[in-house]
Amino acid sequence: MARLTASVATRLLMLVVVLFVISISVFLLVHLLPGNPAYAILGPGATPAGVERVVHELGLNKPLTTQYLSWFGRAVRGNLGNSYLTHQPVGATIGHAFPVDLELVILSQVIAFAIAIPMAVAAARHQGKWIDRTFTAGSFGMLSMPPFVIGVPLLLALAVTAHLFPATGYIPIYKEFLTNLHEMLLPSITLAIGSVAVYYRLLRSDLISTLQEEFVTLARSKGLSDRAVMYRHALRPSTIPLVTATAINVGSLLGGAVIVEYIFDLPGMGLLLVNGINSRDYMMVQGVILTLATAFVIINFLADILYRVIDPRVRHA
Amino acid sequence: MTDPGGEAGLVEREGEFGGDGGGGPPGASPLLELRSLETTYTTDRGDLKVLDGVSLALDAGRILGLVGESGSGKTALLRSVMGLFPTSHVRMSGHVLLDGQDLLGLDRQALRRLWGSRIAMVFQDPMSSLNPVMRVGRQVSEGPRTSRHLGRSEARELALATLRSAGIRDASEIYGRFPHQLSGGLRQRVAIAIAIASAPQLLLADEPTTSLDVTIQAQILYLLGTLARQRRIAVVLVTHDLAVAASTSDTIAVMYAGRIVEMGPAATVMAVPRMRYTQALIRTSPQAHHEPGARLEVIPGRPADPIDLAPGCAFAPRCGYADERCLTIRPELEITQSDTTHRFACWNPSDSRMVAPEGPALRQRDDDERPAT
Ligand SMILES: Nc1ncnc2c1ncn2[C@@H]1O[C@H](COP(=O)(O)OP(=O)(O)OP(=O)(O)O)[C@@H](O)[C@H]1O
Ligand SMILES: [Mg+2]
Repeated sequence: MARLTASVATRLLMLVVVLFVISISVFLLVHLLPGNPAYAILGPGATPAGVERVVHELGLNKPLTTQYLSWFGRAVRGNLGNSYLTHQPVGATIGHAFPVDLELVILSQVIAFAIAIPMAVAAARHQGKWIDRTFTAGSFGMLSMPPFVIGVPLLLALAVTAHLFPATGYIPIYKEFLTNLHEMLLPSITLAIGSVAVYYRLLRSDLISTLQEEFVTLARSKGLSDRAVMYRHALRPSTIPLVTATAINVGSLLGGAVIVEYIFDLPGMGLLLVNGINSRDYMMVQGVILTLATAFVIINFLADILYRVIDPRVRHA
Repeated sequence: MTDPGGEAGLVEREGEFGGDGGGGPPGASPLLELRSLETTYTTDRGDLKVLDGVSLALDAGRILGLVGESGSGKTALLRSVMGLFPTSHVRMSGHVLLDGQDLLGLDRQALRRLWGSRIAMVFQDPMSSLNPVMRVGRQVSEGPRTSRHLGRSEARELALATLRSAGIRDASEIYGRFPHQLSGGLRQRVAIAIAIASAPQLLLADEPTTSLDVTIQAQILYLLGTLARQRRIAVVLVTHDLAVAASTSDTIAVMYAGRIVEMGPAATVMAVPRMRYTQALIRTSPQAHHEPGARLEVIPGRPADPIDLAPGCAFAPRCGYADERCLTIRPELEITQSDTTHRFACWNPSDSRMVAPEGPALRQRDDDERPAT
């Protein structure tokens, strides 16, 4: 237990360092973009005097280090500044948008597990047979498709043409649970497809080797059903690599969610980001990227801890 | 082929064993009977006949010690009795009779109903046969939960009781542990507990003492003996250690290259081994060398490869007594219904009046010119 605590402490320290580095990168990235936000804010009728005034107001004439320090100093206290455009606090705006992506990612992972696990079990049980070959070929196909290739046809077919699902619109999950799920289903499936392929392939090869293990034969010798042998014994050791893969995957899924959510017109981070970039709203872009990057790093940190907790061999080592 | 005169006395002694140990009434059908059992593994190298016509019988409450070198087919025999193999590349023929019912004709579903509740197996290596990421208590309880439809708490109680009867005193403490947290001896007891949890009639124990130190080994063997005698479980005890088989079993069967080459009451086989391979086994077992520093003898040559067996006796290429007939015609084991008859498959058996195995059993030893001790 002491070792676990020590390694958690080490990782926390690393987490802080990584977040610091990220904040610098985000800041530099945004400020080195061409274009002056003052022009965007003032629109086509911008006068040199007006631009001068806005630049002064926003502190854009100060040295970059000063700008960074004042932004970072407020950011660590949870204040991401105000949007140049709407003058609303960036933090509050993100607070409404980020849960959309979070829900999308979580739902997509639930869907991905629900599809990938039975697929892998069936393929491993009938290794080399047609079902295995079909699934494996299918998983290659899924892997090679970016989300919008799946999302756009899905949107057109099921929502726009067949009206089975809403094409646009969003109600937060805490307001109307079922309506929300209905709205989120198509985007979640779109996002899930890549993960299905990843998890299917990982589980299939893991299962095929686990099924050779003596403890699987022992489980069968107890008279357990094939189902129990598969799900209770053979699949269990795969939990650990699966959690690891999910953790690695969730980071890039956040990126995918931003795209999918934009396709399906959900009011998430994607919308904020695109609008922010178009209008040179530095504060918004910085806030969005910093939030996404922080979420990415924290998810990986949690996955690392989780992995230690669920593997009894690591936990008690 | 047997010599009734030489064995009569020992067979009588075996009768006493039957008296206190159980053993069905004479004439009753045995709990387990194998008839001309042949098992073939199909591998990349070709077909591997790992069991080549095995016949034997075992009564309830008795222990059959199955000995033989590595690769002789001991595990294959146990798996064939279960009808449970890690792969599907297996062909079987012959008969496996459990209480008169032929298991070879059963479908998967019917076989599965027997597994655990009527036949159970202790696997060769408890380290690899226990699920590393499941608490051992659950591994013990899930069998009875399935076969007897027990509830969670009933199954837990049963598992605790089973762990205790497998000789684990602090069962409730061990219940929540993972296999890697247990000592080798405890792991082996857990493996036995798993096997006996659903109260099987037949226990197939694959080298349950191999990796254990002598004290623990003795305790495990004592446990198996107790189970056989008190619960009238029939036990097939696989070991490559003749001394283990001799001290624990009622009957000893010696395997070589997928066949039983000698079989009989334990004391008889140990005292008057007839088949030349058995004799060599006894002479080369570590217990046979009392003087400290004495060189450990080994049986010369390599174990027979079941992929290309000679037409005659499989041991002939390594045997100092082999003649033309041994190399060309296969000696057969006489088939009897009783497990108390001493039988062997050998054209040139040793003298039945010999009390202890001695003398030049092996060709290499003759060449060695060392004084016989
Ligand atoms: N999975 C397998 N694939 C192919 N051949 C196998 C396999 N398992 C065992 N064999 C072969 O089957 C024969 C019998 O093996 P078996 O495991 O029954 O021997 P054993 O007497 O139990 O040996 P040990 O004392 O080493 O456990 C051997 O020739 C072995 O090489
Ligand atoms: Mg073996």
